Amino acid sequence: MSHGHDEEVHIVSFSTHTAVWLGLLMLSGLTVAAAGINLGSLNLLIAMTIATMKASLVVAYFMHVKYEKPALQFIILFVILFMFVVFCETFVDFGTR
Amino acid sequence: MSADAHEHDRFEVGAEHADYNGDKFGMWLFLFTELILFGGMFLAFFVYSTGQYGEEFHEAGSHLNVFMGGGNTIVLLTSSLTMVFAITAIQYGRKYLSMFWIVLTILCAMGFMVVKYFEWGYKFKHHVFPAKIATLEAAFGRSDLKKAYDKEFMASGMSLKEFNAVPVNASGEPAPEGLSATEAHDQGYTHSRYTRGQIIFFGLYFAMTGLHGIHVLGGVVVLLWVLWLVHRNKIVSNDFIIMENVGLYWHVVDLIWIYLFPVFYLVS
Repeated sequence: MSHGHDEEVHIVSFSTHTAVWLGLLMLSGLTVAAAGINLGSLNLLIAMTIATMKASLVVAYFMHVKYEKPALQFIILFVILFMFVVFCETFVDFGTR
Repeated sequence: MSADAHEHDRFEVGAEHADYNGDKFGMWLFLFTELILFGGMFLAFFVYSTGQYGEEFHEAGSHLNVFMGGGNTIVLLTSSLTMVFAITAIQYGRKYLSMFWIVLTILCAMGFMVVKYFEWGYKFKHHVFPAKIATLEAAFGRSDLKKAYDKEFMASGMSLKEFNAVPVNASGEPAPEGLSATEAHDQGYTHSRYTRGQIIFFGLYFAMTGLHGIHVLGGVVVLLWVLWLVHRNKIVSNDFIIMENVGLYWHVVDLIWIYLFPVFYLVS
């Protein structure tokens, strides 16, 4: 696939990782705080939004996807969109019964 | 330290048949299947919790301990950090630092399982079990059991909460009135009555956190393998794809928990 000298390894520094980790901890705190306020069905939406923000951080930095080749990034995005479509279709189905 | 000074060309040293991108892509394909596996279970949870069992899910969810779940969230996020630290360390060629971070990752994983052990143990103590056949039958399809439950409830004149608090024996018969809690327990009335929604909630809870727990244990095994490979100099600063791939797996385990925690412990 790739040969010799066009291959460069990108090293993410300890400090970047630590900053991401702090962000994740803060978002976790935010999730717990937001769950304490009763907003009805909005609660689920808010919790899922924060969880998705956390997941994006993990995927982009910890899983190194931010620094990957566009082809791999595209495939990952495609799978996530596929999952999203499946979820939406199910909700449309059950929501309209 | 500048990252540029340490960039390596991984194909320079004795790796004729190495296919870095192929290895990584293969791992991602496996991770996609993991995503779909758990995705289906989340879908089942959302359908039930936003549908007819919303209230019962809410009630059942309030039995979960937010502190244990939240503590485990911090443990798992931290283990993801120590995992990427191990990779950065090996990229800089610092073998023993990398091994130190892997050991910490394994300790976090085991800490997570210890908390899980206490959480599940607490539920067993309160007679919430992963697979009680009689109650699962009541939840799925056996309308006669459901009808019997409704009839008994109507006849009892109790509130739903009081009714569900009456202990039942293994065949679902309620304890006679006038027995103290210990007497009832001694005579075999050791089970709790659960509504369908609660049974489905705990069924999904045990299935999803259980499958996730198996993934954590699997992570411990592969992390020990990585530790051994680093020790034997099989994973080095210009060849660390195995550690990277195990790291990717470990982050997916973390990702699943990121969704499991709010869904089970908080939204309810």
